[in-house]
Amino acid sequence: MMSLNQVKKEKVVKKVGSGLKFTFLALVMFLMYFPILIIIIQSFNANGQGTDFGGFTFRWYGEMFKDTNLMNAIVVTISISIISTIVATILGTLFAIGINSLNSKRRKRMILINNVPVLNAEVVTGVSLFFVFKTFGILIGNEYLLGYTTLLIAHIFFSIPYVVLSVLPKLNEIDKNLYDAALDLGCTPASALRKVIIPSIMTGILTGAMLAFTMSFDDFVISYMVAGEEIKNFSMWIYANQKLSGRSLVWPKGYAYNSIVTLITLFALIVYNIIAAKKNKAKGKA
Amino acid sequence: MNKYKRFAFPYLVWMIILTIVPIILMLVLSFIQMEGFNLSSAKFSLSAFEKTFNREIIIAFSNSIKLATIATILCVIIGYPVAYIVSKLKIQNKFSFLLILILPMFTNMLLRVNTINRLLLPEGFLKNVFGISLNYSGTEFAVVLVMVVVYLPFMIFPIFTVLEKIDPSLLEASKDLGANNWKTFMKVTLPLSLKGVSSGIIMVFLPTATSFTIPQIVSRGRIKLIGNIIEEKLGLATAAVDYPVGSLISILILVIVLGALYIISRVDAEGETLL
Repeated sequence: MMSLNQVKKEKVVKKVGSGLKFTFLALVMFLMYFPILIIIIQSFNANGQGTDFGGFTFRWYGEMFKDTNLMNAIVVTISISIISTIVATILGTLFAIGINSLNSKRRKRMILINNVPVLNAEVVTGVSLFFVFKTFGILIGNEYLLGYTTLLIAHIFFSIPYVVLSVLPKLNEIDKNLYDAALDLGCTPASALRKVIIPSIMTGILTGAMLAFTMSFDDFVISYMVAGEEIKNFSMWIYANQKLSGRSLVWPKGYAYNSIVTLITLFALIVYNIIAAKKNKAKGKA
Repeated sequence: MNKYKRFAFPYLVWMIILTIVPIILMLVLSFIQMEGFNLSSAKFSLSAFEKTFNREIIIAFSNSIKLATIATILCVIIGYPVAYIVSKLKIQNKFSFLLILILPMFTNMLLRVNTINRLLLPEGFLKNVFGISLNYSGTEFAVVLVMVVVYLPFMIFPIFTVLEKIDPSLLEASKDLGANNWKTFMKVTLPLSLKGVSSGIIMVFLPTATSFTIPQIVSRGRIKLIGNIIEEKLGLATAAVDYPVGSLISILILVIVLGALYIISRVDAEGETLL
């Protein structure tokens, strides 16, 4: 039998333990969030050099829209990530369905090739694409091929493997009989794809799309190597302004844009959570 | 579902053009000598090998391995407990909690790297507003710190994924058989989660070792990792362009990546922990 003292001791140990856990999580959260917090503060900072807090202002949120270079970069970032996400999601899903129907040996081989861009160093992937575009340019007699199109192709290229990786496990879970039943009931393979397979792998497709979008939206290294000299996305805009620290009042506008993005992401996450919680509740009732 | 096999073929073609062909091209380039990107002036030569084993490049290689190893170890030390604690939380939406924890991942990396680095300057925002003066900007410490902040989520996620998949009845069985919490962790949880840890190590080590933006921004070109050398040799703007040397280094990195790929295909054939 445990004595009362022992029970008390265990309770204290547990309390100290959960206190430690909480402190640890809080510290990690601080490590992750502190830079973001600083970016948000700086976006409202009237001191444009950001070396001191010079009072609260909305100035940068207005000036952001007047900066043509920044605006162009934002348009490139957003348009590239939307188009490449849509294309990569559609292609990646079809490719995953294809890979899933291969025999096990070929399937493994395809997954291996699929994972090369996922694991490969971004610099090496960027260089590889640069070489392909450059060689292709020489072959068709256009040396200055690098630009918006090559940037888009590159983004589609590095996004597809993430879609494939998110869709494959869902395909694995599908009951094969379901597909056979659809065919028996008069579906063509194409309509079985649309009515049976796609709906059952929808969560995987959405995860893949989200990953593809995040990857594309934030990419620097690969974009930098394949976009040529005219086209810049937001990351490249930052890199180009890297040397202009201090006097140029360029940075606060970048902080302002980034803060808007953070806010939208946070909002989307909260909405997603509310919807998920509601769905869970509905399931519980049924 | 055999009818869908044909969907895999275009992907194979696409991957061969954009992945395999450039690898072959880089292999070829490693053995030739040429001016700029002029394939007609190319001739066979081993000069790329000689040029690669010079001091600067060897230092960059060892910097890469040293800094990435430290950053990876720190990520395991911090990331494993985070994943473990979150997976043990008694709340409904653990995954969302984790998402909130790593939300900063969704803001621009270059901007974050730059911001952290500016905070480490002795004169600046921290000193004037909070009265704290740090002087680490541009040091190896700063490079490692930034690597950890940026890549920690890539360690947390795969570990969390495997921890969530552990059957709770295994832990109950272990306790029923007389093991205490610590022993259960060491004998059951830890071995079952190693798959996630190894994915995490690869997902942190490879990008940090080959990163060129972090050292470039933090040290303004003073500390060079192998990624910086590749960027220098194959980049757009620099005078040091040397396609054969850049290709050779890329091939060396690729060999390491293929090794990692082999390990992943051993522990996780479907690549589930790569997400």
